[in-house]
Amino acid sequence: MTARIPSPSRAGDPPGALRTVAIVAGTDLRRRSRNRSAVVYAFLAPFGLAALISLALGAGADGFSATIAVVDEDGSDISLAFVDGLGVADTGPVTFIPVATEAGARSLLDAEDVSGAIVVPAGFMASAAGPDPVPLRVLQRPDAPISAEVAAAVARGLAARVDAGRLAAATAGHVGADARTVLEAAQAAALTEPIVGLTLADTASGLEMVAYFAPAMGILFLFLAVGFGTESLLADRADGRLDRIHAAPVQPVAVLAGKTAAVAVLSLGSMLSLWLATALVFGAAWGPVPGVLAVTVALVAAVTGIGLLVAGLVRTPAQADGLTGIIAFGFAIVGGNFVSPNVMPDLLARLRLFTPNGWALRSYSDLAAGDAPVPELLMAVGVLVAIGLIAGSAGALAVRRSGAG
Amino acid sequence: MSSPAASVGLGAQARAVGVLAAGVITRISRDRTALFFVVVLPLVIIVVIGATFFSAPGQLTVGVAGPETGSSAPVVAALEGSPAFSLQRFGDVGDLERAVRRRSLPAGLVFGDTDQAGATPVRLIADPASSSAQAVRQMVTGVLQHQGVVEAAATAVASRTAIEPERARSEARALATELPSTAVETMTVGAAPPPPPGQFTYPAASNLVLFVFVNSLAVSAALIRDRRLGVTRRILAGPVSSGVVLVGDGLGRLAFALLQAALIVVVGAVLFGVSWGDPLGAAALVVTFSVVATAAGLLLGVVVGSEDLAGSLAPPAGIALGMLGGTMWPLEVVPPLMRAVGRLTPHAWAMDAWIVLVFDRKGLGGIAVQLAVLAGFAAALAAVAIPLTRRRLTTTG
Repeated sequence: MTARIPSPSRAGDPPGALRTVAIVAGTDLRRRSRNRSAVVYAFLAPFGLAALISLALGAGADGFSATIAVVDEDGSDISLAFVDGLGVADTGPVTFIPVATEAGARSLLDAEDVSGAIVVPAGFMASAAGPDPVPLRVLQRPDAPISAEVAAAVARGLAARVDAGRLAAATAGHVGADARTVLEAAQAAALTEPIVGLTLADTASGLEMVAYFAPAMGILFLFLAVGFGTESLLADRADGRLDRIHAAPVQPVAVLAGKTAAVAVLSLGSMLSLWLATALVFGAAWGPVPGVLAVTVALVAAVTGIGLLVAGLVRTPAQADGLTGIIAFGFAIVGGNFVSPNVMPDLLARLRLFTPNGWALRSYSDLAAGDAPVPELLMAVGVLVAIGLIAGSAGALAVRRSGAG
Repeated sequence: MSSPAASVGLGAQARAVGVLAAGVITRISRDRTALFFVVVLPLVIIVVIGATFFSAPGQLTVGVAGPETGSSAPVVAALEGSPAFSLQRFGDVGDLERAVRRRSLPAGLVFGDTDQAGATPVRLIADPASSSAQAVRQMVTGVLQHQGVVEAAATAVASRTAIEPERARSEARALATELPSTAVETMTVGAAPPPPPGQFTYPAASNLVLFVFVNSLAVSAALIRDRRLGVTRRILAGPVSSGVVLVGDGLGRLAFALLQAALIVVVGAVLFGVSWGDPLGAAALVVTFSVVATAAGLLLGVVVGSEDLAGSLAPPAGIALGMLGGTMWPLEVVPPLMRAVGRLTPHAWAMDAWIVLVFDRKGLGGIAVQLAVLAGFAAALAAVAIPLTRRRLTTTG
């Protein structure tokens, strides 16, 4: 489909630049909408991959879980209450299973069916009142250090209760209480959970994985989709379509601006539809609308500018396809598009700021986490727009010199 | 009249297969973009992932802020002395809270001012949904419970005798220093594991699986292009049967997949010290998975009619299958349903086999089941792809 040329009766009245831009952009967008590959890259692929990541990683699947065996060889009231209590308490990702003997627990550890074991040895409570209390035992596997720490912490909790009971008995006796009161005080202290000065501050407003990976996948395929615009420009030059357009009374820069505008509109549509789709389907919260819009528009500017630079550097659609792919995946790797923020090393967190991906993703994740200081946001927007302007200006010059625009 | 191909001997057909296969490799090697995705990209990813990730496996990093005095001192000492945790200190509580909200850390501890009794309030900042944060919580609770022994004893005594709570507390504090404590002994069961195979080993294995498959899908566009340009029609005009074309093309693609795998194996071993385990097992796994990838590429090439669409579907499809199959994160961290779905991909079985070979250090026998499943995938894909491709070759040429 070619751009509409003004009718001869108005030959003395060439179309304005804005109208030319609109006509060229509209034509390119209609052509792009018929290209199934562009639809895959702009809409289907980012949503599909974001959905996959959301289903796989979810909200709190950060990896730790453990099964710990609990062995009661003592059979006292305290040890029975301890084992029963672990069985009914909400212990999160840690599951405690009762095992009859220490030998049985060792077998389970060898078979890697449990990642740790707590053993209350025989004579534990009987020795508690004496000068030499029997220690609790924690069995650990060398490849499960976190489970070992959790098991040891739980065992220390039981040890603390026994110590509290012993201390209460000694204190009651010291202040002259009778034997019955001493016993009652000891039992009360042993059965009371020691006060721990630990409060929990909930950060449930933290970043959801889908709110990070949706824009991450969107940005990857944004670069790939922009390549179609570059190929279109070069294909038009090769087909002679550009020559025919330039033969009309239109400004060449307006034609180039129209093609660039088509790329920008498609890119913006891609990111906004991804935002809407993930919000509706997965309840993904990308963050405050003004902030997300600002970062998205700036990101589109950066990607469009880079796409224009690619158009100026290459000569054939195949070269455009290749260079676009290299840039898309290169930026994605260094920019952290494939790396969850909760495992991102410091080095990568610094390296990614050499890419537009890194600036955009950092801003998106801050917005989604509900913690995006305005100065940092403005800086990210400024950097992205600057990338777009610099790359786009250089690209436009190169395209004009090559005769493609 | 009989077809020219019928009169050609076996030797000539074999030579034709070799020429066709070599042609596939030559065409791919002339494509600089393909060389980037085959050579450069996998190695860059291995370097980036290996160098930045696999240096301290199995550790949780906990942020701390505030004065480390009173009862917070033993908490810090316990975290610093534990192989399971590493500490990151923050001068500003706001920065620590921001790091936890942004998921840079699983949890943070903020210590308040120590009171006259020596107790320090501790605030745990965490997402309640984070399982790692709960591990930190349990560990810190275990340490702090010991600090609460005096208070528990004093409260019990004061509530059952006539003495004032403050006197009970001071008596208990004085006696606590004289009484023995219940100890917790830790014992290690089982031999220490062999030293880990090296920080680049896991990313090398996962990227081998990912890129052999993705690039095998990507070259499917080449067959469609050959049909469109009439290359296949011209070949079939000669004394070459469609079967020979199919075998030649298939062997060419398989050779490409094997070259891709060999590159990652050799460069991984030489430059990054990657250990690939038992050589026979590794070779069998590489060949079997390459056959699976080749069959998948063949199927994509015949099902999708347009080379543009085939080329554009290959990356997202390959990445999606890689995600499902555990090449981007271990399947142990995903929900059971996603783990089950992952098992429907050849990637999951290939990763299983690499873990058995490299981390469990078993031989060919240890991956027999995985190899059998992968062979099943290859057979199923080929059973669909080969007849379709043959029909496409003979009808559209």
